Amino acid sequence: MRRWPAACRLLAGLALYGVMAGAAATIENAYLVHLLILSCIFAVLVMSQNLVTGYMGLLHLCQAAFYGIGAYASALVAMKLHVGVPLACLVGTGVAAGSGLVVGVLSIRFGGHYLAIVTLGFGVIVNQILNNWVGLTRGPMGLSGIPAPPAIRLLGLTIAWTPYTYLLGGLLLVFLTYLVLARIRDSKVGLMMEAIRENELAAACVGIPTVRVKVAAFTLAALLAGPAGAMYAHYSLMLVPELFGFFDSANLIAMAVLGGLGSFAGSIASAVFFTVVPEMLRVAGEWRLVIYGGLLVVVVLFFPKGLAGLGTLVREKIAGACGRRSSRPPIGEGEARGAP
Amino acid sequence: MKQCFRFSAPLLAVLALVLVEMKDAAAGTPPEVKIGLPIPLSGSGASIGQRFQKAATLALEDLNKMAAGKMAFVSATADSQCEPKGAATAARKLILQDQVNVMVGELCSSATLAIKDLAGQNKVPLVVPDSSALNITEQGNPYTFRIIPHEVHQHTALARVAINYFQLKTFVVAYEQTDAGVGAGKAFINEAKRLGGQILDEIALHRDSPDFTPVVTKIKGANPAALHLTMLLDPSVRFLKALHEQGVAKPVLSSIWYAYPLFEQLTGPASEGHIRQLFYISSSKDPLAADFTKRFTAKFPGEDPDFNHAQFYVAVRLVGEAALKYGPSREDIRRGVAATREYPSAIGPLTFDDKNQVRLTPQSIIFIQTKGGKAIILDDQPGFDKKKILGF
Amino acid sequence: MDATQFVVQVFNGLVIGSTYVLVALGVTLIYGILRIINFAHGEIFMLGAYLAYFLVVRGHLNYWVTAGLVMMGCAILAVVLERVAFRRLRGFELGPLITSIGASIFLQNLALILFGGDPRSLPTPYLERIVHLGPFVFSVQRALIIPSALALILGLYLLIERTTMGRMIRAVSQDWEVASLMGVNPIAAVVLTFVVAGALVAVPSVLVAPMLYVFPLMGVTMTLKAYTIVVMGGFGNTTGTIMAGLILGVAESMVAGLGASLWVDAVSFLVLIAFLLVRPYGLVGERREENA
Repeated sequence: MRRWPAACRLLAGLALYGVMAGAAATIENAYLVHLLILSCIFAVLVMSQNLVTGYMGLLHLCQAAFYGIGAYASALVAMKLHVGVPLACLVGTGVAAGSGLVVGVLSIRFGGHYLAIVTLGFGVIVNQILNNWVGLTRGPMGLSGIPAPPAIRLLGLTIAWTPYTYLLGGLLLVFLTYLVLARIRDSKVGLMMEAIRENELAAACVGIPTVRVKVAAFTLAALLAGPAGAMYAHYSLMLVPELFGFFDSANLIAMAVLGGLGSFAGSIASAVFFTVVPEMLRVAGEWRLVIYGGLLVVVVLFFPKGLAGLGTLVREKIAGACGRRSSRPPIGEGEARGAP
Repeated sequence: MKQCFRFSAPLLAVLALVLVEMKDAAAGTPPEVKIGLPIPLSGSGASIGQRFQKAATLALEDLNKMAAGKMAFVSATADSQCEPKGAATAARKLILQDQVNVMVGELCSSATLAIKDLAGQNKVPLVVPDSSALNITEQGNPYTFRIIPHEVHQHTALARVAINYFQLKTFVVAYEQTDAGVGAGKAFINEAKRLGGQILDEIALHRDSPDFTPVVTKIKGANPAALHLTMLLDPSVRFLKALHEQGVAKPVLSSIWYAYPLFEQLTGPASEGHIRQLFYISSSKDPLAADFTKRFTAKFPGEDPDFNHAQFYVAVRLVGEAALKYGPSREDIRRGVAATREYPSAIGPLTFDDKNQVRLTPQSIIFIQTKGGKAIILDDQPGFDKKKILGF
Repeated sequence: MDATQFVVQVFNGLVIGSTYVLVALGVTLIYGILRIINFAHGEIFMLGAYLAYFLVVRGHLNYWVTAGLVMMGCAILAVVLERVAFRRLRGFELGPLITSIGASIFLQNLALILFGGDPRSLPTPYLERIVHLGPFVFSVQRALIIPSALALILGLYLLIERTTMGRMIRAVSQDWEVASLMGVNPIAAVVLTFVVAGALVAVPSVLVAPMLYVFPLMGVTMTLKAYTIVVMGGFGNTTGTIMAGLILGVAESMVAGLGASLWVDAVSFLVLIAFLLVRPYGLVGERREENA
């Protein structure tokens, strides 16, 4: 894909989107559609988590807070200021990006595990504000009655917001996020991020503006989480602070690692896998979460490169069978290491 | 093309899911009524969810006996985890995948609110057995029914008993910062003030506090005549133990959150003097309540039924009987439940008002006080004129 | 809050803090040697409490005998955890984080199924004996906590500083490769660390559980507090952890005593972040080389 001219890539992307939209249209099971919508939202979140943790090698534990800020900001702006949902989503994204900037600035001073705890603290403080500022957010009672997006008027057609439309929107969001992140990965900035991940001191010595890159990475991760949050808000029409706590952030990290750090495609697969699998485990009744916990342990022990690692294995087997050497290994091959 | 493999992972995942679509079960010959049970089976509400399951099993048995082959009652359970996201997903599964005719659940008010919207959108009747937040029924949703009086009713009644019968004048009100906790606290405060009581302090609490001693020390300093507490069972036990340890021997008032006798077993001497109100107690002499107690203990020996069991049992029985009388479809059941008037049950006679909410009546509520680890039913005490105290 | 209340709240805080310290010390020791945070530590605490419940209530064993048995039980559990979840993952920094989260979920829900969600009461004879000492009112049970914590901290100090085993642990914590070149068995040091960590967290299980009650999710808050304290004190630094734990306990007590219980967690983290801004290597930590 990298060697193709931009126009071809764009066409291929559009074609793929079309195929997936078509496949989605054949799904009759509305419950499955719901799961896929959630998967799309989580795919975006896991990819943005991966940007900071996989590419930059910085462990941050507040991705769920960025997501929550995007969701609440969008919902509140839509409800209290009575602006349209699209504008509210933009505002939500902006506010989330702002919070990413704050964390980015904090990251200048701290690295490694200290950064982890500072971001954890940031996440807890945001969660507590959402929970305790009852006048604004209705606290644990939650916000309900969030407005749904208005019907789209396009080329004389009026498209109402059905679960299927939400799924299309979700897929679009996933695609756009992937494109943005892939672009960054393949650019100079991506190389700079990898350099910082490998050895920050050395990177600074060769003239890489580490501070700016780190701040930019955090801001971007939050910027991408914002629309995911807004989408969740205007889809489920109800928000509670419980959705955006520490364990949700920890879950996102787990999904990023299990998808393969540094592989965005792996992140998407992981999000789908970990949204659908707990649902499929419902047949196990009360053993559901026991199996889920055990699964996390087993997958990390035996598939440390995650789903992306599996993908690489499959690709290499096929390439080997075709008698060709495999292409340059994906970034996921290297291990992400945080600065101590 | 090699590069296409990069996209293959997510694409394959989606297509695999499309192929792995789960199919519905075929319907049997007698019309089947599938009752959906979105209840918490993991997380903090799990212990109560387990009670709900047992109650549902008994109720389904009774319903199938009553139906005598005319209808087949089955259930579909989904773990709703006592929070909105899990509850919404569980409800969607029950409605869209399992195609249930009616739902009975949840426990936590925020989860119930999430389910109620979905139930209304999909035209599936929902009967709420145990959540007390006001706004579950306040807007009047034609598909949501609640079989117990809500928090305003409950705590207004409690305030009247505290002031009119026990002659308590000063209170400290403590509650957990959740829908149900805040609503309960505010309802009590409003009524207590209206009756001339004095609120010395209002404290919002965190369920997860590992140690309540600092808060208890503060309450000790305020020295109220009584304490009004609304918090989940588990943290309340810790709170009461802290009160007991610090020597704060004032009566504690609460409504339906603490099952008898589990609460007394856990708190031990710390429960002395505790006053609370319930809709069912296993020692109740009311014929329907006693009958339920007998049959439950026969089916599950060694387990004492509490109001969680009773309320859930009544809810499932109610929807089943509505189906038997009016028909098995979702709309039939909805009409049947809405038409409920003076339905005799283990928690008193039930009538739905125009908001599909059961109102408080003297027959439905029971007040108890704990002495020596045992519950004394105040209604049976001489001098306790329930109708007069509650102002009916 | 008047002066008497203030003093009482400080005392309450020290009691809370001592509990945190005992849990956090285990986490800090594990971090020191393996550079990983063990998220399943709270679950060892929880399982220790259940073991204590079964031994005391069902087995009718003496309380102090139970305490000893629970210490052994928790130590074994910690070692098993290390073997299963962490041994294979040396060098993969985020791996142990996730396996410990997975182990935590696994154990919580297993306990839920095996023991049921209903909380259990763990009665001891010391709960009912209340002591009045001026403005201080507390049960003998609570009074046991601070002295036990002190005794254990002293014991830990002696172990780490004065014995060969302690030297092994310190060596491997400082530099794994060099220590093994010098003939120290690093795996043995790791196992030893987990034994100590398990034994340490068993003490709060046994002492504090009677004041709470035993239920499957009781370890969750503990883990989070432990993580905070370990960072505040400086990763891997035991003295710092002790100080941080006590400070956090007192701060929480003060905030709750002022009636603002809801903001306790936020305040803890603000305090933490403020500390980090002022003393980024923890209260008594030394500067560590980045990218070692």
